[in-house]
Amino acid sequence: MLELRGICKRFPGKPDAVLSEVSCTVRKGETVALVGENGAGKSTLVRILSQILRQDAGTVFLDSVGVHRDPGYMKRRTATLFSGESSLYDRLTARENIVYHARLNGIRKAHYEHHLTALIEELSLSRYIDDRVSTFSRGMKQRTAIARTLITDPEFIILDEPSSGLDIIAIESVKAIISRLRMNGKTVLFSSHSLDEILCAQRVIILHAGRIVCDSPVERFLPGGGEDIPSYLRD
Amino acid sequence: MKLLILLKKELIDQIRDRRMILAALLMPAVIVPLLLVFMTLEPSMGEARSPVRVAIDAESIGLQEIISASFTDILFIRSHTPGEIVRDGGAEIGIASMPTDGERESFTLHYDPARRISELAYARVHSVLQSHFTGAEPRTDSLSIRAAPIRSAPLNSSLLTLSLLLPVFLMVFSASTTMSSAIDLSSGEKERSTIETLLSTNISRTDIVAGKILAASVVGITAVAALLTGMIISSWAFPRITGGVSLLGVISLPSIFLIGAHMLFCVLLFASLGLATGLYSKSVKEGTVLTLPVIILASALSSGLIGGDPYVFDPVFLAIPVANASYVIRSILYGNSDPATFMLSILVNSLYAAVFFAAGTYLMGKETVISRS
Repeated sequence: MLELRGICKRFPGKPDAVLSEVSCTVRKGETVALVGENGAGKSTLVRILSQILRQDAGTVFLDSVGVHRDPGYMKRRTATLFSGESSLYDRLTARENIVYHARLNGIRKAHYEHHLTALIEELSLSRYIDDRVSTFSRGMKQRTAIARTLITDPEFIILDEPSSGLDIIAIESVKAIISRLRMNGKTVLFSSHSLDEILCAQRVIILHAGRIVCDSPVERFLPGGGEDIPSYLRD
Repeated sequence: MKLLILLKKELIDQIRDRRMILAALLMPAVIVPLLLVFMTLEPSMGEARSPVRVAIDAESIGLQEIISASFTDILFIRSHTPGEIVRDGGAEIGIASMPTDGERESFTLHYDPARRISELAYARVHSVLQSHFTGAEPRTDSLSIRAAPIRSAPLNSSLLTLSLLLPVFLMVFSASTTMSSAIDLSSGEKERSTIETLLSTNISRTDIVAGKILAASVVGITAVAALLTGMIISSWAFPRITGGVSLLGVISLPSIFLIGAHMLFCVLLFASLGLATGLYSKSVKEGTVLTLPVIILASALSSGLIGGDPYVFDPVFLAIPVANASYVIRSILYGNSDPATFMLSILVNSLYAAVFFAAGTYLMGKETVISRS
């Protein structure tokens, strides 16, 4: 279980805090969508969970282990896909990118090889797996990046706008992946601007101006569910 | 007309780049004059801190008083073989009296034409002897002075050429190649947005910094090896390019390996500095501009204007990276490699590399630096 208690973050030179007293829980095996307009603090929260940024106040616990006490505990169990460009090494092949990430995380060849074969198949990468990433389309890059994220077989997966900039077919592919992860019992936290995509989740957390303004089951965002659908969510 | 519109926009874009202003205006206006001032602090022959050493045989002892008057600081070394002393770098000039038939004085002046201080000493001693023995009215049959340079003209020419060019080429190419690689591995990684994924993996930031420094160092030492190999081959094929004698004709292959081994520590220093600079920089362009003064400094420090004589060197300069390594390279070329100086130079350069490594590790942990892009 992931638990956030009173997370606060302010960047130097900015008058307002990016995150203010963010507290929530993500249970094991749950799929949670993180929603908010641009600048709400989603990416900052993702970076704090990935331990790239440090919060100014508050604590993060994974399975009751404080990240501040044992940073490696969460790192070994978490994998993050960051937003924006797929952050792959252009001069390496797709396979090299994925294997590099696995080896940096201490995964031995015997463990990742079998998993890699399954991911290649699942993400339709077999035709491109040994091509340099510089030749890939955006969709191919994103699928490779997802494969890289999943190669370590993490318990907790963070996806920061996984369908950003993708076409409809690629978005459907991402939704299918999220659904599969959910069925496989993985704990997934993903951010999105797509209403259709957040419906893959079990719960929706809405961030506004650095604060959680809503934390509800996804059913409440269906027609008649009772929750107002934020205007910045695409259909 | 559209050309002017484009030109105007590009100029505005460049001018608003602070780093470009730094590179184009500040550095040439400030750094180059500062370097020139610094270089002119090196004492000239007439004010040399080290005494001019004169090896003199027993028969020439009487010349001491005559010669002393022309030097502010002189040290006489008695030797049966003044020429050997000069060849070993133990003296700037050697004076040996030759047997004569009585009225005629005959001397042999041994000197090293590849050393400025030795050439100047030879010229001065020659002039002193000439004026002393021939007086106001020169009588050519009263004095015979034989000039005895300690090596052949082609070898001397090659040594002069290599001692000037080799350290500069090695330092400039290793600095530019290594730091360029380090910049790409640091600010390039930030530009390509791959650094966040890297930092989210289960590897320490120290290991990340160390790995990148080593990778940049491999690139740098490859450039050094390529340069030395190129010089070996081209000087063997065309000895004229190195003054008449090939590189292997001047020094042995083990000595070339020794130069390469010594350059490794300079490369490590450049890699560490380049990586720290790259982590600080917002972009590859900014990082490249910031490392430009280093390359200029490296070329100046390796040019021989500081520590150009391989036998006379102020120990203070051993504390200056690049200058210390350039001095060691020149010493190896002249066959004067001293293990203590070699090790001290390595130690100093390693210490500087360690400082920049620590700076890089510190910067890698600062989120304001990592997110600067």
